[in-house]
Amino acid sequence: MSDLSYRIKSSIRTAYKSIKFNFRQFIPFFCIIFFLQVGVGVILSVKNRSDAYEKNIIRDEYRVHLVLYNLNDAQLVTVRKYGYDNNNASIYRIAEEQQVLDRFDDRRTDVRISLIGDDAKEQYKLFKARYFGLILSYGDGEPLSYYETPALKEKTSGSALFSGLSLFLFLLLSFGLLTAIYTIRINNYRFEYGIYMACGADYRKLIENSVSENWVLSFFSFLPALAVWTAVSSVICGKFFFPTFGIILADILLSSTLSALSVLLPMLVVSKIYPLQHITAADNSNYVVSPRRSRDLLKAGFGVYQRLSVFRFRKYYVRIIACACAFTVAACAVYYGSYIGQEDMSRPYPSFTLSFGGSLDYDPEVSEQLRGFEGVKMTFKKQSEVGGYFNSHLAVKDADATLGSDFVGCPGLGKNAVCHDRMEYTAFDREVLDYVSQFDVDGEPEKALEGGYVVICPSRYNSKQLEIKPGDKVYIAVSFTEKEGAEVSKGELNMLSDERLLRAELEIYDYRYKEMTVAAVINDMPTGENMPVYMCDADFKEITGKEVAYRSVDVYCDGSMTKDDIETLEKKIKNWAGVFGDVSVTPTHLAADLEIEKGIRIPDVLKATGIVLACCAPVIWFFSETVFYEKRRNEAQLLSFLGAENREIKKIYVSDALVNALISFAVTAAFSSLSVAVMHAAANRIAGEAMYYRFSYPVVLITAMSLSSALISAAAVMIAYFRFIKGESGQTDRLFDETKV
Amino acid sequence: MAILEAENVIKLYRQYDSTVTAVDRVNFKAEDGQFIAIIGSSGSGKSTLLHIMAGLDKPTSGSVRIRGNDLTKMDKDELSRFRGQFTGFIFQKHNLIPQLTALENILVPTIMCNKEEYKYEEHLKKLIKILGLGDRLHHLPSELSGGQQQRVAIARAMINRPQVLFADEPTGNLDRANADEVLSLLLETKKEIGQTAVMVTHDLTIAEKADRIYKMDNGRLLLFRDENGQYMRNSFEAETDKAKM
Repeated sequence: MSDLSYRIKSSIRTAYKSIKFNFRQFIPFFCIIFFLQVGVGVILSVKNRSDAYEKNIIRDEYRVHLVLYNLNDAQLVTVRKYGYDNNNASIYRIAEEQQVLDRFDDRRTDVRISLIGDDAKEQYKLFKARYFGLILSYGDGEPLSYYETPALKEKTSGSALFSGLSLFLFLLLSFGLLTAIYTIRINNYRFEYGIYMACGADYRKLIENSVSENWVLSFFSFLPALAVWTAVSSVICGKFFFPTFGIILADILLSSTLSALSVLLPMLVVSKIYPLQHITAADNSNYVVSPRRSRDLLKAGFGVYQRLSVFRFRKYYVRIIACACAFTVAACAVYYGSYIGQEDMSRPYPSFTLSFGGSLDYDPEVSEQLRGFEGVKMTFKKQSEVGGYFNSHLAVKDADATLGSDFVGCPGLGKNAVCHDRMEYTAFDREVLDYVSQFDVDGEPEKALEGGYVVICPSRYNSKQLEIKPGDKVYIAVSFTEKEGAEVSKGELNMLSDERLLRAELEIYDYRYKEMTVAAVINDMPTGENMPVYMCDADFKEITGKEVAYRSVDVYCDGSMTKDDIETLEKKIKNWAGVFGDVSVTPTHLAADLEIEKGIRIPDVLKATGIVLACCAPVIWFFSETVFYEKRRNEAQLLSFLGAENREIKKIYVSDALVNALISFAVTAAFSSLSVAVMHAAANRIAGEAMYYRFSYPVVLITAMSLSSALISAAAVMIAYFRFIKGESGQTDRLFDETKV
Repeated sequence: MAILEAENVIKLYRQYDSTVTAVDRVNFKAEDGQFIAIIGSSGSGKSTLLHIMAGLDKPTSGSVRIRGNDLTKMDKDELSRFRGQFTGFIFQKHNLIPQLTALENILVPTIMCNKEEYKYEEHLKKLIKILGLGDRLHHLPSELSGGQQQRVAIARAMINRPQVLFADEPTGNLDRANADEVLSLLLETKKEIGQTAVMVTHDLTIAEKADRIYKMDNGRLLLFRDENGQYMRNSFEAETDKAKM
């Protein structure tokens, strides 16, 4: 124990001395650890606040924990009767009963139940164990339909996932940053590590020293970080928020662990090199040109060789660019995530789904009545068939297919035709037209109410597959016959899928095509695996062979409606549906979920995180360049000693600064833009049919970051120059004093 | 008994398109408690050989054994620990860590080897007394003279009571008076601890104080003067003598 305490004490003491003496060189680490502590603190604080907010919303929004649907009278009596447990203490109460009529005009009741007690989840378990079976036994043999409200769940939204991902991403990048900067530091202090190793330091001891340094820095950066993260969290949360003890402890543990882990790899590299190489590398590192090259340099004149800094130190430049870019890219991706989050929340969502059973269809008359309810903004119905499932495909001219789309040659229509079978033929009438019209549509979609026209969204997974415009012709395979001489093996065909299956089918069958004209093109409809192709009912029947009969419809409410308004509308629709008989109305409960999401302000948090990450890139440039040019200071002194005038040395620094500015601007702008484009494509791909995200290029952010990177990388060089000028007098002897590192 | 043995040690460096042989098939043996000097002109390879024998650098081929432990077969961590426990090295350029005081520099090996204070306290006092560093212990290297810095370097090399002490021109940067003083201190300390010492120097006057003198010439190690004070007349005799060792 005493051995351990001695080791800790001596390591901390050595680290403290090292930091105190070389504080300027430790500023980057101080800043990164400071950022790390602030970042982790902010994420944890915001998560804490989001959880609290979510719970408040749930408490306010959901007065009930459970809704039991369509109970018959016997079941209702049972629920009413057993509202007490064995100790005669109530475990639930009926908050509300709503009576509806089913298709046989029998009375049914929806019952909203509020569980009593601090631990709703436990009470719910008890409720389920005791009463579910009982209620079912009085039923009509149908399963019990019920809905567990978010009040029963600890976390209803994606806040936990969001916080976890943010934290993981932040820690990962900080780890990368610390590792990269530590590697830069090692290159500057190889002499010291060489001496330590010559005196017996192994990998473990080197780690001990480095970790101690990071921990000493963490100790000093913690209080300022706490102040900053409290301020930032308060701004994000909209009110003063002082972190809890748990958050503070988690912040300390996470930042300390990460700062310790970040030295493992650089120190492993150090420990694998013989100490003499470290010691001599430090001796020679200031004279960055070899004797032979120095001679060339003198021959060529000062500056010529020097101006090739980027090439000479290419490894360093690759490292710094990769490091700074990682943060830039992450910042842009996170910032773009905020835009996606914003879009996500603004998307319309259905409040109920109506399902029609038996012989009842959702016909135009029913549709008119449903859409006549006050508060119903839009309805969405869909009847579709995917071409690939019944050996049909849609063909176009090969010039219409975009680069990278997986359309295959269509021999039946000539060599310039290509086709695909992942086409979702969808019936189209006035109600569907209303739905389609909410998107960005080119052309006249109403034409497709007549035969021979289609409305098409030329995308799959939100990625454009066809360059098609209104008036273009498409060909849909209506029927097929086996080609003469073709040997059809159903078994073999069944083994194939997707593109290979389509190719095989095209070889085996002759198709009859129906020429259709594109009436309109939908630009921003969310799409999944299949490309939506809308056509009138007659065409739909001709192509798919199926009658149009809608069995369900989604009802979208007006965005200004409150949860209570939606509940009232739900009751009205249920009573109305009771008249028709076999219609079930299922609420989606998306309104409250969205309310919670809005309350957590995920886009704002993402924006703030993006800005913090964006700030890291210039910081890396600045500090890395400062350290780098500090190391090269003696090079300038050597040149000065060899006869170069300050004017000539200044040229080297200025040209370095310009090259730096140019490279950092170009790289930051390029990679930031790329990250946004990739993020957009990935989000659309993942969202599929759920959402289509419009592309919005964050011009201001990327320009600001590129400019700041350029300015800071140039400023870092010029600061180094001014430091050189300032400290030049009386320091030339430093060249010969090998003891100073 | 040989405490330090080098066998067929070769060290090659690549320099642009050519290969330089810094150490050429060197065989070397040092007995327990011996003081051996290696002399030679600049660039003859003597420092390289010393670094290799101390485990600070790796030979291209050959082996180095200290107390029977083959340094060339050890992994890096094992070698580091071995250096800390069994060897001490005095660099020509002191190589003191600038941010640490003289005392802290002396204690670096104890920290790196995790030695507790009571294990070296007495020895430290003795070293400080012998080397006359009592009043300079809390000064930074930049506040010490060249001679004082070298004395700190000697103390650092000896604090862990190494069995073999390597010294690379410890007096190379000092004037004659300081050089003599440092050397006598080094010998006194060595005598006190009773260790084996291998010193590289280009100063024959200093080398004369050694039990045996070797001469390094173009990477080859030749015996220059044996334990009996007999000088080898030419390199042929030296080679022959070396073969007898």
